[in-house]
Amino acid sequence: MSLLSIRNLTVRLGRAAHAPAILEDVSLDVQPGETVGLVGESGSGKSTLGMSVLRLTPPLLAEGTSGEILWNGQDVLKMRGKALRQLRGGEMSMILQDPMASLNPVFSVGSQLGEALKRAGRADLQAAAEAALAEVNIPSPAERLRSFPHQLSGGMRQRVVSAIGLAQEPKLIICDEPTTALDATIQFQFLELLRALQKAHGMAMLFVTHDFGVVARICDRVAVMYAGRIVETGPVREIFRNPRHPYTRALLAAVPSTREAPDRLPVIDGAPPSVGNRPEGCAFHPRCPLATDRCRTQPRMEPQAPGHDAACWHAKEVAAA
Amino acid sequence: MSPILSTHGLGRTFRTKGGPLHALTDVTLDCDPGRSLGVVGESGCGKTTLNRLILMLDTPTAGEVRFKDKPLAQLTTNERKAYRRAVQPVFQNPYSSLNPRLRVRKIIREPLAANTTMSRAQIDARVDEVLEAVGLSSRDADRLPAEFSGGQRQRIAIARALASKPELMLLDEPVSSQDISIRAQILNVLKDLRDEYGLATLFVSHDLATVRFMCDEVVVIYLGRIVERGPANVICSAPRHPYTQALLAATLSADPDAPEMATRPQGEIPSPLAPPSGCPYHTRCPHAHDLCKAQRPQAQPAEGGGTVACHLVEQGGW
Repeated sequence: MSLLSIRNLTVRLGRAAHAPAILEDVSLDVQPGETVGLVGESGSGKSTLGMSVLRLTPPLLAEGTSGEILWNGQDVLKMRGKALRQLRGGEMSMILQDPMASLNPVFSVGSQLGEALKRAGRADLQAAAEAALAEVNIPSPAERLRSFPHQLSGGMRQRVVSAIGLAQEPKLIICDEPTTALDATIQFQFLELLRALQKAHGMAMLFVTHDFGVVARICDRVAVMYAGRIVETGPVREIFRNPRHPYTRALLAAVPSTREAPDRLPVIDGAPPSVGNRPEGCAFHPRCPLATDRCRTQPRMEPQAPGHDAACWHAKEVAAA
Repeated sequence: MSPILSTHGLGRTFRTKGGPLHALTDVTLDCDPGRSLGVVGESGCGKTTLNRLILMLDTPTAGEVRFKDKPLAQLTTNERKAYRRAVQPVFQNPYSSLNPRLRVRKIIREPLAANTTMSRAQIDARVDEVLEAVGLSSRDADRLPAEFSGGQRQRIAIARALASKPELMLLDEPVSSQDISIRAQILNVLKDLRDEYGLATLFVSHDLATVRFMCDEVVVIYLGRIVERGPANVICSAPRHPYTQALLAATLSADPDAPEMATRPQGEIPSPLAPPSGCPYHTRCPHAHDLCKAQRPQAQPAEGGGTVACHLVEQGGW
């Protein structure tokens, strides 16, 4: 059984049936111990998806949420009060983009980490906190426990956030662009750390990012999102080698590489549609070179190869091109 | 041909409560017509200080910036006006670099009205011309920035820079805040403009892949000092300095089978208030030995072109 199973999740801006949808009919599974990348441009709904899993969306979106999010067979969308509190930061935890916003600026690292460890029922908090900081490669942990967030570098803050997130041994950790604010070398080191922690604790990760380089580095599977829908999903190598959706293919081609300097980068004309203005049918069709009349109706996710699905009427042509 | 802009031993030290902060030390570079120079470095390396010094928003504490071989401090009022016209910046964030209350036409015409003797009609014609050059239309001139997406806003910022017919564009991370599909569009526009108008560009970035696409030559800055310089293809594919190698390893390629790099990043970026002795990179360098802690390496010509400041490269490798 999947650890997490999202079934036909739709998130609208409010309860009304015709309210604009941020997410439409999204289904995704995460198996124990695997890393699933959720990649897309801004406004594609990838962060809303991450937030929905922990029921952290604002009230307007929470009202407009339908579908199922099954965690160990239980629907997160039907959980209340205590069950939800135990889930958040317990079996499921989260690392967000800006560690300064996740950490409380007026409490020391030790007190914030201690709080999480206490919830985990650890006895010797001081020793446990030191061990937790040491595990995320923070030098002189005993001293750092007395530091406040503003006294740490960005990379170190993000490591403190991960130590807090790991305190209750979660089975799934949701990472929403955790390295976007970090410098390149520090990002690299943080991703290495995450991979090592994941292995050591046997957790699954749902990794939200806009960066294909990060996906290639740490994910096992990837789901590509466009305008609120998953348009393609599959094993990382398969998606990078044989993309079947024209959007995935065009995005991958538009990433510059250090290995060659072409005269021009291939581009996708236009810009992603805003939430209220999504075109009918396949939302990508106004920007798609392969679009035909058929694309005005929504294509379904169809299997392309084992574990590889894409929602495109012209997937076969993309494969042949 | 003489460079449009050059810096000579440029340095800026700030006095702080914690002692002197050496933001930039001994930076020498040239921007030649039609050439694109990349400046690569991480946060705190002095990229922003370099930009501010070039834009005359700050004055150096050592060395100087020269405009066509004349130090900025010696420019006459008219020459200074010419300089401001010739060197135009495009900033990272088009949400904060465009006045939200001005229509696009006003945004683009302001620098022209201030810095040139063009008539109103000439300026209006120029506004339409530059909007089209960046892939927008003259109808967009009467709209407000809020009506545009991030990518379109960045095009407006580029159009504004282009309007006064500059000789050098100072691009400070112009695509870092953009989505992938928009990023490629902007980079193509910038490259086309450079070729069409023979513009020199100074491209500040933290991303080696973008630099490879945009630049002819690259300097790599670490803690305010140039540690390596050379042709873009060398710096971005076979760098010689251990720091640049670590940067390259950290530039994740969109390829799950990309080979692992030998030199991997490690350690923390030191505070510029307490820079390490000797080679500034020795605290993070996997090859560091005693000499690196004691003595700062000088820039030496290196195989492949350019220079490298590293004791080990100098001694023929590790």
